[in-house]
Amino acid sequence: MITDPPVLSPDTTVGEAVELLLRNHVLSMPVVDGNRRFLGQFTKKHLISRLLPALATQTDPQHQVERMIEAGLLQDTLSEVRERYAAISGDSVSQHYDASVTVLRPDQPLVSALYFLYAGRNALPVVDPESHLLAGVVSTWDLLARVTSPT
Amino acid sequence: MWVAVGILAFTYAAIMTERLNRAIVALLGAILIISTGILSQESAIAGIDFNTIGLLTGMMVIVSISRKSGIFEYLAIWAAKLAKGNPAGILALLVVVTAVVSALLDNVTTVLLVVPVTLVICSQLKVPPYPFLLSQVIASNIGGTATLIGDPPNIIIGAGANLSFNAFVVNLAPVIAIILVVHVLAIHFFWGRQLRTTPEAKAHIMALDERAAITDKVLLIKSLVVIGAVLVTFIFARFIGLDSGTIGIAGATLMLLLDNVGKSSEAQTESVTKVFNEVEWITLFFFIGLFVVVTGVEHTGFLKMLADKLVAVTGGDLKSTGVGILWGSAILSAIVDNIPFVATMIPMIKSMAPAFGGPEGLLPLWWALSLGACLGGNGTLVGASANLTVAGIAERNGVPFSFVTYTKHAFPMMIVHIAIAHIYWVIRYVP
Repeated sequence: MITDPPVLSPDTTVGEAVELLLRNHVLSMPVVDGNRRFLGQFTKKHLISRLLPALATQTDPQHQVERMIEAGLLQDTLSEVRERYAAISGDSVSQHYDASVTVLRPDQPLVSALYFLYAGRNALPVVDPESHLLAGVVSTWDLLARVTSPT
Repeated sequence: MWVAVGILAFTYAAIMTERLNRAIVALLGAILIISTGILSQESAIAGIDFNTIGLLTGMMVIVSISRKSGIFEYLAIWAAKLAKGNPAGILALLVVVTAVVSALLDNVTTVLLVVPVTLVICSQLKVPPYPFLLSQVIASNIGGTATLIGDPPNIIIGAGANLSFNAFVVNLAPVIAIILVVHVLAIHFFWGRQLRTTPEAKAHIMALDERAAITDKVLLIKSLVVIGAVLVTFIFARFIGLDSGTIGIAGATLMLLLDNVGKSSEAQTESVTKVFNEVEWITLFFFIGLFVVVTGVEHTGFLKMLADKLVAVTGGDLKSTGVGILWGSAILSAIVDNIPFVATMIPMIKSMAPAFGGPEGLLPLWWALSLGACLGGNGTLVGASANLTVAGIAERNGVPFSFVTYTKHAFPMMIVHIAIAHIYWVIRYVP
């Protein structure tokens, strides 16, 4: 676990948050208030969902979106993606973080972290259940570094 | 008697307020009917119409497998190209495609598949999607009225009154064709002729390849075979003595067989589980509970009493009874869910048989009920489940689709459709 991960404050703009993702080479960042209480996670999944045409991000059990893309119906240009990005880049992060994201408690065993990383997450905030203070972040990199390092 | 009526009234009210899921409400009503001793458990089970349940389940299974083939995207692109990328033409053709598909499949499934493709076509043509969505919702309810399997009220009427697939087509399809033409013309007059697009956008549509939408050609052929076989069986159902529930389940079994044969046993378990998970259990348990509640009320003689009162008011006159049922069901179906309404009307109309010279004499009344209940669902946003489904997709994609706007446009159209049905009904059935 990293105990001093880069964090976002809720009034950071999306544009600034994306710069921080790029600079820190991370795919998501915790959003915390002035007292370092965890509010939610700003994730690449949410960010990309806002860059896609709205239709493509709806739940689609029958892969209709894939078929429409295949048939050339659902097309998209870089300039359209840039337009969608421009529309949200001035928003504050408070409108875009995921407050219901699964977090780890400091006392949870290693296997919990492994399991959530297996299930598709890249970084897991570790949050104290009483104080809601952010204790740190466990990422795939931390885990791999730990597993491969000689004890 | 009044306990049963009270349970029915509670069920209706609870369904309308939507505070509780409708399957819970209907099952709660059914449990009350049995536990208060109005019906024994045996007669409650006997009251459940398994032809309706079987047909609904069967169609759900067939649709859940066949829609993976991409046939709907194919049809939509084909229609857009047939219209040469012209928005007014696409608007009209998609209305016809929606109506025809929903005559064969459930309305909600139809709009769920047609609407996303429509939204994409609209965004490429840079035309407002609202007229497309409005016209398609209404078309799905119009098309569904034409056949026994097109709309749930027809399924219950067909099973309850023992009417054949062919009888529905012969009696309802002619007027539905007229109403559909009127609908297409009205949509063109109010919206279609004002739609404009650019030559580039048209060229874009013409460059689309509808064949690329068919992601699974083998599955498409299997689906067409099964849907075709189900239709042919329905046409000959009376001659071979099969009921609609058996045909629905047989079709579903054939579809499952064709989709799974040759797969490993794990793959079969996975694919069959997936299909059964997509069956709409809420709808099925809603129907099961509702049938028990309505049978309970019927058992107490209340519906017979209401029917006698209605016959007394109309003096047993076919014309005024039929017209009354048509308009009454249309207005009520626009406000309340038409399924419990139709389920209650069936035993009521059945008990009118003596006044109209036996079950044969009731036939015109069944068609009035079907036209009123199915077309009436267009009146407001809450009138039919397809309306709410489209409103949901539209709102999520930033297309305003409010109750007030929808009702302002759809209610007058519904009145015109019912007026056409009224004229047709009088000409055809009143001697």
